[in-house]
Amino acid sequence: MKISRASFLKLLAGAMAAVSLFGCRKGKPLPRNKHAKSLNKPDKNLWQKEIDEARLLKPRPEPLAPVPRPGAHPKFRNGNIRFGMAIDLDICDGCGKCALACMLENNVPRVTSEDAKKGRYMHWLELRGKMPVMCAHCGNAPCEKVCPTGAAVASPDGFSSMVYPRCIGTRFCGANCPLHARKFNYADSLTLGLAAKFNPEVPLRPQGVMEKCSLCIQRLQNARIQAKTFGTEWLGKNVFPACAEACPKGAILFGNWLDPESELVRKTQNRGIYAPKSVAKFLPAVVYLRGKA
Amino acid sequence: MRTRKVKWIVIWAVLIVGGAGLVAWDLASFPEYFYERSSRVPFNHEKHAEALGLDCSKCHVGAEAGIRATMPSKADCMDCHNLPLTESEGIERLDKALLNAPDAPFVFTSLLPSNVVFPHGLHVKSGVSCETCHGSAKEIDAGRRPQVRMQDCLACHQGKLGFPKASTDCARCHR
Amino acid sequence: MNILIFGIALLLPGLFAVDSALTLGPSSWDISQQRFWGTPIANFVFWIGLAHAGTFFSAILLVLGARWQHRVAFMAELSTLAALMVAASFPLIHLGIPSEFYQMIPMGNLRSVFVNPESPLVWDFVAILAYGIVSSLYILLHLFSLQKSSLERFRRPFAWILFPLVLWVHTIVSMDFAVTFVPNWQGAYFPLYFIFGALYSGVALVLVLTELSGRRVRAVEDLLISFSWAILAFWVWEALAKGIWHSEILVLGFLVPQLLWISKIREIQGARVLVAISGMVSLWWERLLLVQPESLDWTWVDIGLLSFGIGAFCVLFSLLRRGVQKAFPLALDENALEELRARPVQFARKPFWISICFGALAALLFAVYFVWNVPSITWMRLIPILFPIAALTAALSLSFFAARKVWSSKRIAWILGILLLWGVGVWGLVFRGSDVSYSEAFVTVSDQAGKLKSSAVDAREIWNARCAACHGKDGNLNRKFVHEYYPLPQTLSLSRIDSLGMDSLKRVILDGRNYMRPFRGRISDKEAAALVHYLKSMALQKEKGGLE
Repeated sequence: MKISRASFLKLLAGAMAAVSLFGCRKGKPLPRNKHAKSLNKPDKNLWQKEIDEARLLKPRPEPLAPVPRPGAHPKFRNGNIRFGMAIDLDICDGCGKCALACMLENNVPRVTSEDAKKGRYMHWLELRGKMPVMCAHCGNAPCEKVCPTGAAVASPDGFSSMVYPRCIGTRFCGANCPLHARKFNYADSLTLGLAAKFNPEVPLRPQGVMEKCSLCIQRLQNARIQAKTFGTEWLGKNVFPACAEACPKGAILFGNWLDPESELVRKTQNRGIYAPKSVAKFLPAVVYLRGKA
Repeated sequence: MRTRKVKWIVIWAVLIVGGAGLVAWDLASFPEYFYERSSRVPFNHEKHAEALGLDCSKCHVGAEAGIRATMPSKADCMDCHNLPLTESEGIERLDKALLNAPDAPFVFTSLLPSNVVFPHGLHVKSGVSCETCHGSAKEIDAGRRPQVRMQDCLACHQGKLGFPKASTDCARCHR
Repeated sequence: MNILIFGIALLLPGLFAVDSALTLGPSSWDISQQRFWGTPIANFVFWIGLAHAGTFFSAILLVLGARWQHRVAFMAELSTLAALMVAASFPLIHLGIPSEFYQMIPMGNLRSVFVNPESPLVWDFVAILAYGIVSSLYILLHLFSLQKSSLERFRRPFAWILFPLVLWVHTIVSMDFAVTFVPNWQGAYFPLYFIFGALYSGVALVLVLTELSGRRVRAVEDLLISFSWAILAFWVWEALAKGIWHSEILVLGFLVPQLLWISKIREIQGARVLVAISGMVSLWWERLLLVQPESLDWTWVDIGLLSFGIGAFCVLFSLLRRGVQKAFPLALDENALEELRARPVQFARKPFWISICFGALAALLFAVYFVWNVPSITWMRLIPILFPIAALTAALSLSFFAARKVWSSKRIAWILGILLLWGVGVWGLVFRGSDVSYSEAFVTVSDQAGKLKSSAVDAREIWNARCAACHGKDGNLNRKFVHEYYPLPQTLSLSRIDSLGMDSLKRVILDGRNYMRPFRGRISDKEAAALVHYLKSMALQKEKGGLE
């Protein structure tokens, strides 16, 4: 078989054009403004069902290792806030209410059935065994070190945050997270109808970016803005993430590790502080409590 | 030999025109704001704000203390428009239209990316007036809309625009 | 011609795979929520390894003065260009949002955002970009030197720039793995391991290509055997240190090449080609298992991407060779090359050192610029990208010197002008960035959003927002507005507030009175109560002010 050069070049150009057209992402025209329509509220049971499904995949709890009490964030030594969390495993019975609350608060999407088969769940807070596991908000975060664009970046309030528009989806952060707490948006969940805007304060993430537990950054930011607007001092008091609010037994303590008056610091006195073994050396801010110190 | 020369001239011309076009395109794509009527509601900001001395926050309740400026609902209009307010023609038509308008709130899609929080109140408290970004009431009536670009946010936060310096940490505004 | 048809046959189905990889995103190939890297990265590492073969044969052997170098040089250089283009396409396919790849360009904080120069991916991006440009210039120089012998003296200096760059590039590729916290990927030996692996597969590729073009270079076969022993050392090390041991890799990558010791087998051309291909297959498989040690639940896209890689390489390679054959017939004529080789070769000493100085200066300026603009970054963290920048600048300056030898200043000025124009244009595109194209792009504002929390502090804010339009911020009526249109309401003095009582005032706020419209629904009960308190405190203040 002999293909003439001209016809071959045509073929090649056509193929390239087809590829480039298919690969295009379309920009949208400016939105028109309108009167609000009443939206159908999505069925929360679907989310609950997915949590129950995902639990079966991870029957074993994370191995724990003792860690010292979290202190100042290594990048913000002079800061007076390091938000963190302590999950009391002596109280927690693994009911999973926190997982649902997290998904609804942060508009975490469900996944397609093919993705579910491959275990590509998006749950920011997942239950491994009976243990709620989310991003540990490491001080020396491995994810932040390898992110090429700086989309994974430390917040001056001492936790690890994500800047979605900077994320280009290299997934290096996910590959480097020993806890596997980072989730990648495999599907365009909004178009597929798998995402819902339960909480207007939280943006929906596009396909192709990484996401993870943000310690409910929207609540922290709003509380800080409110305090600064009204000129009151803000030490991170009176603000709680969705999971801590939802826990029926009060097993999830949230607060500022650097504020000696905070509930978090007071209630963790004389308790054994542990972190998942895989991230224990990275100065995590989210820790687990077990037994006496 | 002549065709060869023609070929080269064409190649050079394409290269030059293409390059210059690219540069021109770049230069044209940096407006600070643009004009586009985004709704058909004929609300006159100039008349309400400057002539009557109403604050922006009368209708955009959050504008001076909230996080988002918020849009008014029908009830906010009816606060004043339950009386025929002027003798200018058209007021009857307006009042009638208002009376028949749906109660549902007016929804406005701002050009602020949804992953960014812009605390209006905090900016007003720090001395940044509404006009700094939105322009005067007259310009708003003409459909002026600010182009929200991070360069502009950061220029101001770095203290380059005459306002005091502010935080430039990503996680302060992005969520 | 055969390579071309073979390539097209593999490329076309491959393009479908690339298309669906780009449209469906990474979910179309085999990765999970634990293993985020899949076949595109394995293919990338494999092809970038092959891309080093050309430079090895061309630059390193030239520097070291191997006598048979010219016999494989062109073949190797062309394969470098083709393999590099294939390799560079894989990380782009791998990205979650491929159109935003330019965010990895380290341009200080020109766009008010800066890359994280700690990330090996940024090093990768810069190093591969520099490597691509420098090796293209190198092959151009080589081709032109066939016609203009005055260019011959620039080849060795160029090779001296390219030689360390190729080692640098592959060291950085190995860093993508070695700096992580994944246990299988750690090891200080990774750079050497990767470099030897790359050279091994590259030697195998060159062997296949020279055999296919009907020639035989015994030295390449010897190199293949020696590299198979070198790579064996690393495999043994991996087995001892981490317990990683794959017998199929060992058989294909080490035992099969040993067949070349048997001269009967070595004399069969087909056997030589098969041995080389077996080496490449083992190396590819090894990279795949490195990236994806667990599940191999492949979709058709995984296989399609492999086919795309091979097909695109074959097509690019044969097209490049045809182009060279047409424009520089001497390049593929072995006798002519042999003659040319007899020319006395000089080393362009002065241009070389000047170019090196330029390169160092460019790297220094870049470091100063970056650190100046982004003070949170120390210059130490920029080192991995400084060398490629220096090499790129040095190569550009050396090309300039070479061009001066053969072209008139006017012509060079024209070329530089065009390049500058395009450079500025493309830079502007990058600077501008892409538009927001999120599924949910903008904030939606309605009257519901961002309600104020009710507390004593912000009652003032509610008053200013909701009430001040008529009642005035100080409670003294907004005269400009109210006087003109409304009958004046009564002033709320302290005594009047007390006589009315807090509860009735609250009711007025919520249910309205006379011309005041009800605020129920817009203001909560608690907020109304706070407002009444605020009203009273304002009246108190006024009373005091009046007394003074």
